[in-house]
Formats: sequence, structure tokens, C-alpha cells
Amino acid sequence: MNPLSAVLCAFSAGSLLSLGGAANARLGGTLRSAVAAATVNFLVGAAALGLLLGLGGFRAGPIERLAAVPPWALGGGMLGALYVTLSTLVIPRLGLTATTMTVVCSQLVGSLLIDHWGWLGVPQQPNGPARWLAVLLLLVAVALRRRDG
Amino acid sequence: MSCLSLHRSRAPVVPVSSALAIALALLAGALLPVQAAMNARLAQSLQSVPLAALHSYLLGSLTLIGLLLSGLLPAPDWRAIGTAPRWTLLAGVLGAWYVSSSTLVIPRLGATLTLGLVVAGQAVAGLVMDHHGWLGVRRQRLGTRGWAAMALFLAAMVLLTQSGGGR
Repeated sequence: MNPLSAVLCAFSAGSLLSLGGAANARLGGTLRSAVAAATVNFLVGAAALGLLLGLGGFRAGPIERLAAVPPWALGGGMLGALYVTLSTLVIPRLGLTATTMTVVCSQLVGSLLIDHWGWLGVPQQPNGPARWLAVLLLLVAVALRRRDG
Repeated sequence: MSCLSLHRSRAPVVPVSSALAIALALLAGALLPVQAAMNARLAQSLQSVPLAALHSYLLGSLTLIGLLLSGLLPAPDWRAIGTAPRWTLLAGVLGAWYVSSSTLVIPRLGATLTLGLVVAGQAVAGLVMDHHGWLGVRRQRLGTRGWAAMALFLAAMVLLTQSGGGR
């Protein structure tokens, strides 16, 4: 995978995450339940991925390899479910931009820590002062945005 | 003043104060890089990104269904699902793209750069939708502070992508 496609993948992923958040908040309003909206979200997502794999668009390794996975790596879906539920709950309260910026803050701090210490199997990349400065700017940005509403 | 407009909006009626909402949003954000790293490790073992994403979605679905069946939460109004706009039902497809992409990219770009780019996409999309009130989001024009925040935000992104990252 060349670096440009990696960058485009990550950027589009973020844009769609916001769009999905907005759509889910709307659905949560109709169903009067953030958890129900998140459930629909996950079932549709699972169906889309199942279809993709079923159509043979991607080659998948043998399923027995599941046994080789460290147990902690199996739990990602639970965190995803919690994320979708929380954002569905919060977006109608704070607005999309304020929610996004708040989410982003802890997202980046979390990423910096994971990279810096090489947690969870991610290659270790110690952070230089520029990255910590970037996080500081983000925190100021979020604080500013909070007072804008 | 913003509280009043909140109550008037068509948002779901869940009693969440602003401070609590911020705390919950912070928690939600912290979960994302952890999830991405876990899924990347899973994909490495399974040698398939879509399979890892599917596993993630099935587990998430089971968790949520369990929560709904537990009776701990007020029952959702399932009959209303027919009245929801069709596009809201497709959020899961967008989510599946996010999970697949972040799983694919994180071993190549590292957590910080991957999430930095994800964040930039999120910020731009969120800003545009708030500003125009698209997709049922309450319309919120950006004030001067909003623009200042966005400028700082972009500066931070530039710093993040230039320092280190890559291999």
C-alpha cells in the first residue's frame, strides 16, 4: 500500500465517521434509544462486511487462525459499540463539531500514548516535542470551540 | 441560552448535562485508538482486514443486543424505525469503512498519524455539516472563536503529520 492511499484511507475514514455519527444521532432520536441506534448501526455494518467477504472481494486467511490471536485483541468490537453508543448520545447535546473536537482530543492523546510506549502491538514511535505541542494546540482549540456555541 | 435551544430541538430526550456529555465524548474518543490497535493486531493474525472488521462488528452487535435485552435501559421505540429517514440506517456501512480503513492503515502510519488524519477528516466533515445543518444536525454557524479553533486545529494537524510518523 503506498503512503498516499494510506493517507486517503485514513482521511476518508474520519469524514465517514462524522457522517455516520450524525446519521446515528438522528436514528437515535427516532428510536428514542442510543443503544438501539448503535445496534442497527452494527448489524448493518456486519451485514455489509459479511457481504463483502461472501462475494469474495477479499481473500481471508483460514478461520482457524483465530486461535493465534492474543485474547486482548478480540475485544475491539466492544469498544466500538461503546463509542457508537456514546457519540449517538452526545451529538444532539453538543453539536457535531464540539463533539468531534472533544472526541478528537482524547483520541489523539490516546494515540500519542500508544505510539510512544508501543502499546497493543503498535510499533513504538517515541513522540518528539512537535507532537506534544500539537496536542496542546488541540486542547486550546477544543476549549475555544466550547465557548462558541 | 444554548440549553433552551437544546430542549426545543428534535433530539432524543435523554437527560445528559453538558459537562457529562463532554466527559462521555472524551471517553468515546479514547476508545477509538485502542480499538484500532486491537483490530490491527487481530487483522495481522487473521491475515485479513475485512475479517477482523467483521469480527469487531459481530462482537459489537452481540454486546449491544445483550445490553438491549438486559432490560437495564428504557425500551426503544422500534415501531418508529419505519419513520426514520432511509439514510440514517446506512450509518453502519460508513462505520464499517472506518473500522476497515483504520485497521488497514494503523500498522503502516502508526497510531498518531493515522488518528491525526482520521481526526482531520472528522473535523472537516463535522464542521461542514454543523455549518449547513445537514443530515438533521442542529445548524450552528461558526463564530470567530470557531474559526480560530479551526485554525489551531489545522496547525496541530500539520505538526502531527510532519514530526516523525511513517515507518
